[in-house]
Amino acid sequence: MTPTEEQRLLAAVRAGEEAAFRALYRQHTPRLFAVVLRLLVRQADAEDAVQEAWLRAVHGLAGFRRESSFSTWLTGIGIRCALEILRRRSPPAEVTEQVEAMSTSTPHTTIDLERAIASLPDGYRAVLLLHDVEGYSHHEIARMLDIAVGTSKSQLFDARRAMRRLLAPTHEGVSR
Amino acid sequence: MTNATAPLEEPPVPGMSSLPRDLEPPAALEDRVVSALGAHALVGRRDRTWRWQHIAAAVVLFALGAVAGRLSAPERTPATAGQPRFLLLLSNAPSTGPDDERVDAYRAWARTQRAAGREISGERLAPEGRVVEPGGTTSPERDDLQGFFVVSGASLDDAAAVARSSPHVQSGGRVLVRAIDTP
Repeated sequence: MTPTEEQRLLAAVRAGEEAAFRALYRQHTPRLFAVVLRLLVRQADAEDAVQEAWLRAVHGLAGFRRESSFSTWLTGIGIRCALEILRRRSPPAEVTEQVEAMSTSTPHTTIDLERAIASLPDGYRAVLLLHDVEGYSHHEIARMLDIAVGTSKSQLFDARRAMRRLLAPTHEGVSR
Repeated sequence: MTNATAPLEEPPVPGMSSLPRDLEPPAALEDRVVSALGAHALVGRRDRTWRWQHIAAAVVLFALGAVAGRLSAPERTPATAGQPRFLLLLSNAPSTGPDDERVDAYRAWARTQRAAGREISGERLAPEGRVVEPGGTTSPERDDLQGFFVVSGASLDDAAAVARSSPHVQSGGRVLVRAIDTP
């Protein structure tokens, strides 16, 4: 989709056209869903986050300044929604749920990686995903998670170590 | 710092950057999101010429339908004809007493659903009731049913999304969603 086409679509969505929204949804939701599902692990929570993210995004479309791409803007909203759900939910989700939600075509090594990520404590997982997968800086992560920059760094350190332990061939939790 | 002997940097785990960027969401999620946007009047230009369903009429239909063993169908509209309908049974609301603000919130929500092109009718239930069985008629020991809605929707997930957007669920109540079996 070219930037011009996307701008036309966004204008139509602002005008309330359902067909335009559906086109925009299909374009951007797979990316959004992947991010929030990795953060939340539980598929039902990820679906709630996707719905809430789209509600906020469409409601706030007038405030979208195009300083970033629409996808980046939407993903940021989705991450905030996911983090809100993460803060208020308990207990932790079952690891298998997120892995089962993945495409059957996903390579085996990637499934191991996804399973290990899902096994991490919520705080570790959020920092690891935001930094190593989504590319946010520690300052940005600290602001999003309402933690100190030093905490973000130490949690990344610990999360990477935990990942290595989980991915070790002898670890039953990942290789099952 | 984790401990005094740990290295200053723990290198990234190989493969993280090559994780799939996209993951296909469940197909039903699209309708659910569209429904939620429609409930907030953010999208959805549809035929709004159909007449509103009156709550009193729904009560009569529900009562007659209950006697016959099934729910009578409200008149279908061009926008909703052929769409499945769902019964939303409301229970477990934190407050059951008369509350004008809550009633207004439910009415506003129902109006929003109608404005989005959805067929909806419903009513609040009084606390008293009777359980009628072959062995006799008794008062229910515990009956926390508080009201009901009949809504049109694309699917069970769509109807569940409608229920989720209701002030009943938002205020901590429970909604049982069941598809109405229409021959």
